[in-house]
Amino acid sequence: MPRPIFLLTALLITTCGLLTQAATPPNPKEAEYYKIESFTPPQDCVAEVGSIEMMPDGKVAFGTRRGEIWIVENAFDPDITKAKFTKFAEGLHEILGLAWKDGWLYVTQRPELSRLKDKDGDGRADIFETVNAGWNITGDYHEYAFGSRPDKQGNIWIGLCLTGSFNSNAPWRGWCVRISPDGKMQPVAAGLRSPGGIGFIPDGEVFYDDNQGVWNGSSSLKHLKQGAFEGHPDTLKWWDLTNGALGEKPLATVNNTRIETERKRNPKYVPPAIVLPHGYVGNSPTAWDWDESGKFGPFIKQLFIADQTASVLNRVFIEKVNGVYQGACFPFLMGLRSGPIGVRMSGDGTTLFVGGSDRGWGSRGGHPDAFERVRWTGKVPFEIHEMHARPDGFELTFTSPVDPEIAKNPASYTAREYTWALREEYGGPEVDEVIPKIEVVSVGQDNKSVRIKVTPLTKGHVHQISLPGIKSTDGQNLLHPIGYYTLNEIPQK
Amino acid sequence: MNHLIFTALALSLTSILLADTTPSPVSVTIKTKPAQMKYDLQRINADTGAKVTITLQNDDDLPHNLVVCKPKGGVENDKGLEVAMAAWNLGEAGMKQEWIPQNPRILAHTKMVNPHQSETITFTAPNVAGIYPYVCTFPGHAMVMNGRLRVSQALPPVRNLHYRYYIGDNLTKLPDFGKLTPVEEGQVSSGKMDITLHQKERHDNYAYEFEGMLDCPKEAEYTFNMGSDDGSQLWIDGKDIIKIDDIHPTVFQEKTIKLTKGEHSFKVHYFQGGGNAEIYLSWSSPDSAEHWLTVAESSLDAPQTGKESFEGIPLVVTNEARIYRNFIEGSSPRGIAVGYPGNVNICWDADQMNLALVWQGAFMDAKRHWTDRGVGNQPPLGFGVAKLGQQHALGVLTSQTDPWVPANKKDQPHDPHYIFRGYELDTQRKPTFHYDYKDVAVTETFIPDGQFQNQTAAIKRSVKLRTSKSINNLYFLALAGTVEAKDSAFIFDKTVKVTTNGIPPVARKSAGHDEVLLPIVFKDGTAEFTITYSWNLN
Repeated sequence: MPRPIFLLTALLITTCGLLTQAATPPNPKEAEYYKIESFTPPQDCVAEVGSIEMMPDGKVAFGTRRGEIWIVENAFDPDITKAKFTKFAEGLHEILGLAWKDGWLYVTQRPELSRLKDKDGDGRADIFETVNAGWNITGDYHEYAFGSRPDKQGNIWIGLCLTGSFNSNAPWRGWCVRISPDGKMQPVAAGLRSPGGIGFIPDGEVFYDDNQGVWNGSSSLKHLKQGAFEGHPDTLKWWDLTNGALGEKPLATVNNTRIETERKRNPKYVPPAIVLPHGYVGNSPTAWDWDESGKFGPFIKQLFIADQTASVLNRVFIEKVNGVYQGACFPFLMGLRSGPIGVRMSGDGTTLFVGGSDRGWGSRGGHPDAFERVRWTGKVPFEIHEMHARPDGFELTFTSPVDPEIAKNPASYTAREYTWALREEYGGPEVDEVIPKIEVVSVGQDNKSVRIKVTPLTKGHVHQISLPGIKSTDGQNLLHPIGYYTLNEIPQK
Repeated sequence: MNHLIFTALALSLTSILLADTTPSPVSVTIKTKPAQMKYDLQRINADTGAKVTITLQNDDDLPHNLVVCKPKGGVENDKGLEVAMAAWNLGEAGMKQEWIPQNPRILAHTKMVNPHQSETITFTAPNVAGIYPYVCTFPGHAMVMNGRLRVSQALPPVRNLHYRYYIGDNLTKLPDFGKLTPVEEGQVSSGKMDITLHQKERHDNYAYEFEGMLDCPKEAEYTFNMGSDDGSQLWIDGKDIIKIDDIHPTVFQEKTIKLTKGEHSFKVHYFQGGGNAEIYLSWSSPDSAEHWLTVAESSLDAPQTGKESFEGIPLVVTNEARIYRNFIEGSSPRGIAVGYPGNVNICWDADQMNLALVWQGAFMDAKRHWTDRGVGNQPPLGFGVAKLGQQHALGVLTSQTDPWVPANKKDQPHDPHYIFRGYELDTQRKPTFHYDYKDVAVTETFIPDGQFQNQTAAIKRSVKLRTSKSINNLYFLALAGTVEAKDSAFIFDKTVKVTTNGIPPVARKSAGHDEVLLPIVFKDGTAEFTITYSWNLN
């Protein structure tokens, strides 16, 4: 296997590249608004968190790469040292999905979807029922399985990583499969490379994030739907096993093309909804969650998506234009302790739990494992709130009013448009850069929004808009004066 | 009371008497036997106060150490298990301290020695005679991986040892030494007989006479063990004790005689006809281990010290069963390893719905999978590994001569008739596995049997099938591979003895190997049987 090893080296070099490029120490300014606190698990707990779930009675569960499940009591106590850890299960195989439903803890582990129950009430699971084990594993370390919570119909969606992250050497590697409540598996979508997280966005649609690598110049958040093709052509070898359930087989992706070109040619190809620009916001996106209560600050229904390499949370705003998902990504919070993999918002919206590991893939956080919580201090940061596509540009909204005089000045903005080649080689390059012209159309009456005209707009490109000069009415700079919008579609109005 | 005082007095007198005798240093290499979980030397001796050098040469594929323990009073046949259990109880923390617990009984120890490395330790044998067990403290090894260092009072070599060397003519028997004239003679300062003292190289037709004094430290029964190639004869106080005449390879003879404390005259005759030339003589007593009166031949090169420290993450099984799902060598990728109390282990294969492995001793080392990215298959940590194969246990054969049903391949769609249903744990965390084959619901439970400590470990597999529909020609593949029938059992791969109970087994040859099938017949929709795997092949 000389080729993958060579390419692996390339990945490591890229990773090191990020460490010098994007590395910054924990940001004291961010800490005014969001506070990260680390739990101290007991000595016998190696908290290589792969997934987190909320349990009844205010308990929090996490599953680990070592195959253990721990239940944490008092996880919401203001005094974090009051947290009490109890091992609920062990001996499972790399847990990357937990979901609590009807008295069962559903566990997506490498070989199967299982559900666990503590029948005798001693605090430890004693029933390990296999819900479905319908996908192959070949013994390759990279064949991870990431599982969602149940959707409204009770289906759990599972993203299955490729063999070695390059090829689909067995049935359903590089596919998304859906497991119904009665334990039946339905392959749903092909073309996945290396999922880092899978779940829902606020409207209930299923997304996953794919990690930079072959056929993925940058990592991105992608929409999963029945019959979708996410770009990796080797996965299509199993299409015929679906017996027509997904319609016609997608065309194999053309090497060294562009996302926009491939969309036009290959109707089942789904473009990345939100590109998470590689090296700018991170390298390895993982799980996400969102809040709709407002108790986690002003970013209601926006995703907080973790990055394993950069030890950060990024923020994602999603909208649907001409029936296609797209949106913007913003830096949000840095300084997580390890490489975050599991992320879960508490039911009351007060606390985002994050945990992870840097094992095998280094992370900026520097600690081998961590279980942490993030809470809003109650103070609203001055941030870009939302970023909407408009027929001739974008509308940016802010969390607090901007100085209108500065906002009216086009020199307060800079922009760059670019994309990544769609190709079979690993990662990059970033290509087709366009430097557009920016005009300010208007500043909102409440001074909380700005309409800018961007010429040209380029479909399929990330539109990186920087606002270094923008200030709030009380003279503050934006906490993160940059947004990256993936423009798949341009709205009519 | 009087007796005790007398003994103490005797001991102190002995010490005074032996004060002049410098204890001989001991240097041994103890090797680990590959795949047997044993040291090759299970008995070594040293004099009180002697410098002891032990090289642990690890020829096995597992890491091992060697911990020399002080005796524990009142324990019969102590093998250092107490110290090993203290290491075992360290759990994962044990790894960091190389499985060396804080324990006052530890006299000396090596670090964990990685496979195919070695390490040398040196220590002074205590002044208290006794049995000092040595043991591997890596969890699960100690039961069989142990030995005894016997520390005892020194016995001196021969005092004033004098040799005479003779050249003979076609010697075929011990000659009449009185009629011979020595060619060379002199003192042997080491006090140990040596038949290579003569100046000119000569390979046959010569003889030696040795004379001197034996100093017995106390009155006791002394055992003399002599071996020679060719003939030899021993006299003590002028009495003929051992005679090994004629031409032959090395032959040993042993004799025990009572000797009083103090000096006794010593004489040995030896002759070499042709071929190899060797002589060995030792003496011992109830208080003293075997001491050589001939030149010892145990000087080995100092081995290299292993520099790498061991870094495993052994999963220790204590009073509950323990499960480890991962890539296990000898199983399909959906391996579910289970370690049971009692030092027996299995790996259930949830790709094939079958038992893939049984072994005894330690359970699994998780280091491969719990460090870095976790690449590759991990073999069991214990020993006696029986690789039972990677194929379905249940299948339908229209004829008993049909080949067995094809196994699930890791890169091809699996046979949809085999559906894994998971497992449930009993109060001791022992799993019962569930799976379906066609309309048959199957459970398998494993129960440890026998005693690991006395090497009769076994595990019993209990299989129960239930169906509401009729299914014909259903078979359970009990064994496939190299199978040898023995009495009413089968020896599998010269590793485990397998007995079935509940269904008469059918042995056959198929596709070039041996198979044992159990034809399944349902009664009221159920069928059940057991299969027992034991490592005692007798």
